[in-house]
Amino acid sequence: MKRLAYLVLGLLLTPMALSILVSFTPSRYLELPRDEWTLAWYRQFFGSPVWVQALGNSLVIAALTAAFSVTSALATAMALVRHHFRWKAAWEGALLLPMVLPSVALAAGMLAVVRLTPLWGNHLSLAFAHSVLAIPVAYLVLRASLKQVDPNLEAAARGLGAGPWQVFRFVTLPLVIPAVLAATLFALVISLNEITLTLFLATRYTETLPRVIWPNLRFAITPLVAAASVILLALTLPALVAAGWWLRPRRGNR
Amino acid sequence: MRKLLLAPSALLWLAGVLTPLVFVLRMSLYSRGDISGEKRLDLLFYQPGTWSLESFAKVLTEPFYQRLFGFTAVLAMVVTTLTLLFGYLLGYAVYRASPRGKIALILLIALPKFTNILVFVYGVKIIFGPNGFLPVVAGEVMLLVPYAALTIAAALEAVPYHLVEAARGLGASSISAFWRVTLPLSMPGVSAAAILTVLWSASAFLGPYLLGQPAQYTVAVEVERQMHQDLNWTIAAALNVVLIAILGAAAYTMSAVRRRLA
Amino acid sequence: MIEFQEVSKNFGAVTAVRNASLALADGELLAVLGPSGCGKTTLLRIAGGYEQAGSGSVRIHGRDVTRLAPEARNVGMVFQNYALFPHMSVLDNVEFGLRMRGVAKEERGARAAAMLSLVGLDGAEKRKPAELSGGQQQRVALARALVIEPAVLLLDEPLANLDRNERLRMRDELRALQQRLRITTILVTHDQEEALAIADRIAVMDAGRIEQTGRALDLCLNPASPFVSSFFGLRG
Repeated sequence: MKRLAYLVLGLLLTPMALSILVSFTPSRYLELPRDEWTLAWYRQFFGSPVWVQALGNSLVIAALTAAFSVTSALATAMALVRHHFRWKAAWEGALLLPMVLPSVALAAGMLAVVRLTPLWGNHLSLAFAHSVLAIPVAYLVLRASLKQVDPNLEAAARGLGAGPWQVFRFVTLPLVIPAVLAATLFALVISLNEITLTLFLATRYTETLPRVIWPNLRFAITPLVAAASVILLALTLPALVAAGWWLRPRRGNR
Repeated sequence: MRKLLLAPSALLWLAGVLTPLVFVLRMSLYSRGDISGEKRLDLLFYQPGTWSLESFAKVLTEPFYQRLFGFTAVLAMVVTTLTLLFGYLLGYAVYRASPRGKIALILLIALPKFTNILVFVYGVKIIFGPNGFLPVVAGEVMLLVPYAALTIAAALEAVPYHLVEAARGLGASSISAFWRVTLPLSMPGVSAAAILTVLWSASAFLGPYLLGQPAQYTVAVEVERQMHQDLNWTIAAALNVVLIAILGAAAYTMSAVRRRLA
Repeated sequence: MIEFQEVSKNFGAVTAVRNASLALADGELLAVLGPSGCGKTTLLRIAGGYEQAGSGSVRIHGRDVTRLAPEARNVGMVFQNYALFPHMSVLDNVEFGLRMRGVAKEERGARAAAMLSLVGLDGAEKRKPAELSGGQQQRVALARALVIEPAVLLLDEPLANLDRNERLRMRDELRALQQRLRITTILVTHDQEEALAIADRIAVMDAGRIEQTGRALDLCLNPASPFVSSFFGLRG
C-alpha cells in the first residue's frame, strides 16, 4: 500500500524532473543529457526577442493579477467574515464559481466581451481574466486566516481611538499578513501558469510565456521549450517554499 | 462601508464571469450560423430576427456531437475512478505519516501544481509516448490526483486513529477495520473530491488537446477548435451551454446524494 | 458619570437587554451581576459603543453618545479575554491609544511606562503578551485602558480567567487603583462574592432586565424580586 503510494507520488514528480533534465541536453531533440550538459537552450531563450518579450509580459500580468485579486479578495473576505449579510452563502458561491466552470466556456465568453472593449490587446484584460481564477483561491486562504483573528482585538482598537482604516492598518493586516503573502504567491503562480484563458485573450502584444510555449508543444518540440518551462518553474518555485512555511507546524493559534 | 468592501470583487465578477456567460448564451442562440470575431458583436443583442435554436438542434442531434459528449462522459468516469483511487492512496499515506512527514508529503503532492501545466504535460508526453487514449487518461489523472489526495487527506485527518485501534481491539482485521471504520468516516472527503473531479475531468481541455489524437478530443477541445479554426462561435457557444447545463445537473445531483448519505 | 436610559437591544428574535436604566456617579464602581446570558456583557458593549442600542440612550457627562462609534467615546474597556494585540510588545499595546490620539512619541512612551508601573508591571515593556501570565496580561489590558484617561472604565469579567490566589490579589488591587484614580467604573461579573467585595453599588440582571440596583446591604435585606433574593442566597 505504502509503496504503491510512493510510486504514484514519484510518477507525479517525474514530468517536472524530466523537463528540467532535458533543458540541459546538447541534443536538438528531446533527449536526456548523457555525458555533456549545456546551457545553450537558456542562451537561446534569452537571445530571442520573442521569448524575452513573453517573459516580460508574463511578469507584468502576474503582478497585476496578484494586486487585483489579493486586494479584492481581502476586502471581500473582511466583509463576509466580519459582517452579517443576507445572501452570504450566495455571495460565496458566486465568488467560488469560476473554480468549477469549464475554463473554455469562460474563455469563449471573455473573448466575445473583451473584443468589444478597449482592453483588447492590453495587459489589463489578461490580468482581469487571470484574477477571475485567482480570486477564489486568494479568498479561501484569506478567509481561513481572518477567521482566526479575534474580533475583540479589532473592537479593542476601536475603543482605544482607532478608526476603521487604522484598525485595519495596525491590527487586522499585521495579523493576517502571512495569509496575504501566501495569497499573493498563489495568485502569481496561477497567472504565470494560466494557458486556457490566455489562449483566447492574448494578442501579439500580450503573449505570455505559456502562450509562446503552446504552439511549440503541439508541433515542433525542441529542448528550448524545456528551458522555457524551467524558467517558469524557477519563477513559481518560491511560492512552494512559502506554502511550506505557511503549513509549518505551529504551537497555538494566537 | 461594508457594501463598499464587496464592490471590487462584485464588479470583477459581473464583468468577468456573468457578462461572459450571458454572451455565451446569446451567441448560442444566434441564427446566422457563424459569428466570427470580425463581426460587430455589440449590435447582436438588439437585432431582431437573429434568434434561433438551430445550433442546439445541431449539437444535440448530430452523431458527431453525440459521440463527442459520449466520449467526454466516458473519459470523465475513467479519470474520476482512477483519480479517486490514487488520491485515496496518497491521502491515506499523508494520514498515516508522522507530523513532519505529513508536511513533506503534502508539499511533494502539491509540487506538480506549482509547476507549469505545460511543463507537466510535456513530461507526461515523454513518459507515455505517442498521443492516444492512455496518455490522455494518465495526464488528466496526474493533473487531478493532487487535489483529490489533499481533500481526502483533510477528511481523514478528522478520523481519530484510536477508533481504528478500537476496532482492531474488538477483533477486526486491519482490512475490515479499514472497510468498516476508516473508509466510511472519510466518505465526506471522498465525495467532495469526487464531485470536483467529475466537474474538472468533464471539462478537460489541455490533456486531450495536447496528449490526444482527434479521437480523444473532448467537448472543451471542440469548443476551442470551433472558436479558433472553424470560426463558428455559435456552435462553440451552444457546446458550452450544453456542457455547463450537464455539469450543473451533475453537480446538483451529486451534492443531493452526498447530503443524503451524510 | 455615565447614564443609561431605557436601553434595549435585540439580536434577531432574542432580547438581550430590555429597558435598562442605570446612572453612575463620578468615581463610583458599579457591579452588574447576573448569570451568564443575562445580557450584562451586551449592556457593557453598548456603553463602549461595540454594540448599537436598539432604543434608549447612553450619556457620558451629559453628552449623548448613543450613536457614536467606539473611537469617539473615550471609554476604556478591558475585555474578558483581554484582547491584547499579539503582534505588539507590552509597551506598544499600552501606547496604542495614545498613538491613535497623536500624542508625541516621547510623551506616550513616558505615560505608558508610568501606567505600567502603576499596575505593577515595571520591566515587562519589551515582552510580547503571549510571554506573560494571565494576571500580567490582565494588568497590561488595564494599563492600556487607563492610559487614555477614559471618562468611564468598563471591565468584562476581569477576574474570571485567573486562578483563585491571583483573583483575590487582583481584586484588591483593582479596587485600590479605582479608588486612587477616582474613575467611574462598570464591572460585569457572575460572581456575587466578587461584586460584594469590590462594588459601591450592585445592579442585578436577569433575562435582559435590571431587577434591582442598590448597595449590597439593601439587596440582601430588601430584595425586589425572588430572583434577587435567590441570587444572594439570603431570605429577606
